[in-house]
Amino acid sequence: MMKQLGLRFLSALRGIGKFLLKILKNPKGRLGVILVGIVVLAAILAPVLTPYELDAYDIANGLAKPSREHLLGTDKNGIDILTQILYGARISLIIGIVTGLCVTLLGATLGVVSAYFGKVPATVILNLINVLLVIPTTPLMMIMSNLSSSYLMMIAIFTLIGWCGTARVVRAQVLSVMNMNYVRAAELSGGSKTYIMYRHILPAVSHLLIMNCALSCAGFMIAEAGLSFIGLGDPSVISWGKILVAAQDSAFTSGLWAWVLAPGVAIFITVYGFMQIGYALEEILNPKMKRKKDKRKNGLPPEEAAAQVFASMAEQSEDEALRLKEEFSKEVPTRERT
Amino acid sequence: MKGYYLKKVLSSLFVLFIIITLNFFLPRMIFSDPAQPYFAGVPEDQTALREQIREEYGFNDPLIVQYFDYLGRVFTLDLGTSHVYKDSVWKVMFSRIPWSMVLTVSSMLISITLGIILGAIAGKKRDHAADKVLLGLSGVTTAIPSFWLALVSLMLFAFTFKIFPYRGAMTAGYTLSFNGPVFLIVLVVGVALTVALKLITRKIICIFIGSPLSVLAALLAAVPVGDIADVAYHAALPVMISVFSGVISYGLLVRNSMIAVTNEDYILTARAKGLPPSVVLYKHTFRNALLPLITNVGMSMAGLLGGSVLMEKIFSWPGMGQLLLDACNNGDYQLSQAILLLFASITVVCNFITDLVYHKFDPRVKEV
Repeated sequence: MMKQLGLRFLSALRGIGKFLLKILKNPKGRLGVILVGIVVLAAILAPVLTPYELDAYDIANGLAKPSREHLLGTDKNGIDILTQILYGARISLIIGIVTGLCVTLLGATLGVVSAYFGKVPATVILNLINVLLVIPTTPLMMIMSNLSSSYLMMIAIFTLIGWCGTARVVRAQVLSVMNMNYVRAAELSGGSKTYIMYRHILPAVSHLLIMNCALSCAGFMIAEAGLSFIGLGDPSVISWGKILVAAQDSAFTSGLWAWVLAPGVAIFITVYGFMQIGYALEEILNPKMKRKKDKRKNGLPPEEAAAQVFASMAEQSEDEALRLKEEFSKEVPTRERT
Repeated sequence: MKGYYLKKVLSSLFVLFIIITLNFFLPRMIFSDPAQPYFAGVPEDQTALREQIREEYGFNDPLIVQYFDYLGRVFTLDLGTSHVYKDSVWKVMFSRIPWSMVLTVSSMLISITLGIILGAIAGKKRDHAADKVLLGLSGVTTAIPSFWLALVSLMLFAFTFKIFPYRGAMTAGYTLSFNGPVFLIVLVVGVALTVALKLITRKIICIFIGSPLSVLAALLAAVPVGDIADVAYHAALPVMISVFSGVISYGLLVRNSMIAVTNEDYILTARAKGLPPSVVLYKHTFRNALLPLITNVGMSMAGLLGGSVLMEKIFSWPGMGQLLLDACNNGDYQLSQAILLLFASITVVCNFITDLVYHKFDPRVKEV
């Protein structure tokens, strides 16, 4: 028993290793992993990488230009900007990754439930989405900041409102998978709903989920920077948005370019890295991406286009044409706009 | 068909109702004592006076009574008074909405126009320079926070080169002179002309061109040229930043939808029939490719009144975003509540209108 479990664990590990290798082989994935890796290392090793502390007030040395001691200069209180940026990476990564995971998890669960578990959950969830989509996130966040300004609150509100997008995408995908023959076959052979959901439907939407997760991490990082810039979030924790607020207050007039540029570059590197990983995952996991390329029909001269139409018409026997027609008329009413 | 609209109206009303309810409970959840803002200037020890205020504004009633009271007030469009500005919430908001619209409407019009042109060129020829620029930029710009771009350009153009002003919507000390009656008269005449033109030519495009033109004419007639120039000078930088990100996203949308439409079978049929390429491009491809834009524009319509909190904070623009920020910082919940409600209801209305418009342009979409 133990041995079996161990073997399973090993094979799972091997699978994960193979998958990671695949990401590294993809040029976009490699770039993304390198960029994100740099930021993660910087966030973890911040105390080692910099000799300064975040609370090392040195007002005599305030607003210093970039020098050998302070690579990016210092702020009004003489605190090293580079140190602030290294520590700020922590909050950005935590908010981005935690929110991305929560949103994907909640969105996936509710998306699948709304598509696969009958009419009542579907109505409830769809109405909930309708309401949530109307609530403006930033104003709500600003109003809620009167209650609590912690970053936990930010994650909670992001998650509570952000899952709608994922849920809609997942729902659409599940609806199209649900009528596939292999799911029908599983139903006919007596599989329970939960079994079919885990075994047949979730794998079909997993590529969407993984990509969505990476991209929403990137999106929430940008959102967090913006909200921190407005002044939301725990005032005692440093974040890239807050460095920029301080920069707008004092760097402009004294021409401290590094102070304004560096946090933006940091945000860009992190977000761009996550987005590249997301695109790489889509290329690796989505089988349709490969086929799409040779389906292009544009640019054909008219004679060839006509020939193609006639050829495809001749290929189809009569009942095939009938089936196509039926399918087409079925498809139109359920057409969903995104 | 009627059932579809009825359903839509009902669901919109339901959403509004939920939002209003949420709006009622939020301040009662956030503030330990929702009556606190009303006590401004009343010392802590004057409990009798405080109790009187409490009684007067109905804070002593049971919650359910307060709730129905609030519902009643919202339905009669009475949003209360802001205790910071000492004025009705409507008045405070209406003094800010036009300023936000200066930024949002101009940047949206410019970015949609440029985005359609760029996207159409890029979608038509996949190897054209426009396509490469659009694709290359879109990969990068989505990762750049636009507020940081605004900060950098502010430092560059306003502080280092001193080309643009660094704050506000007008030069300090000036106020906008606005001739209300003239504005209304010119607007009504313009709209009437537009409708007449539409009735004569029977082309719906008249409305799309005529109504913005009449608003523009009314503004030109009602506001002195000097003031317009001053505002435009102050708005240039924020508008450019919003246009930059807007053009890329609209352009990418149009490009992708052009390519998707080009692969449709009806385009193949049109080409096979021997139609001239220009007809296929404009009548078959381009028109259908603009359909997704309707949804997208409809969604951003909701943001037109709201403006952008970040942009307005960076450029000290006296719009709705700045107002909301101040209201939240001052704990002025009457105002922030009203702004949240306004934003949400505009979104609901815009979604509804977008649905109707989309339906008109794309009859293939049936009731879902």
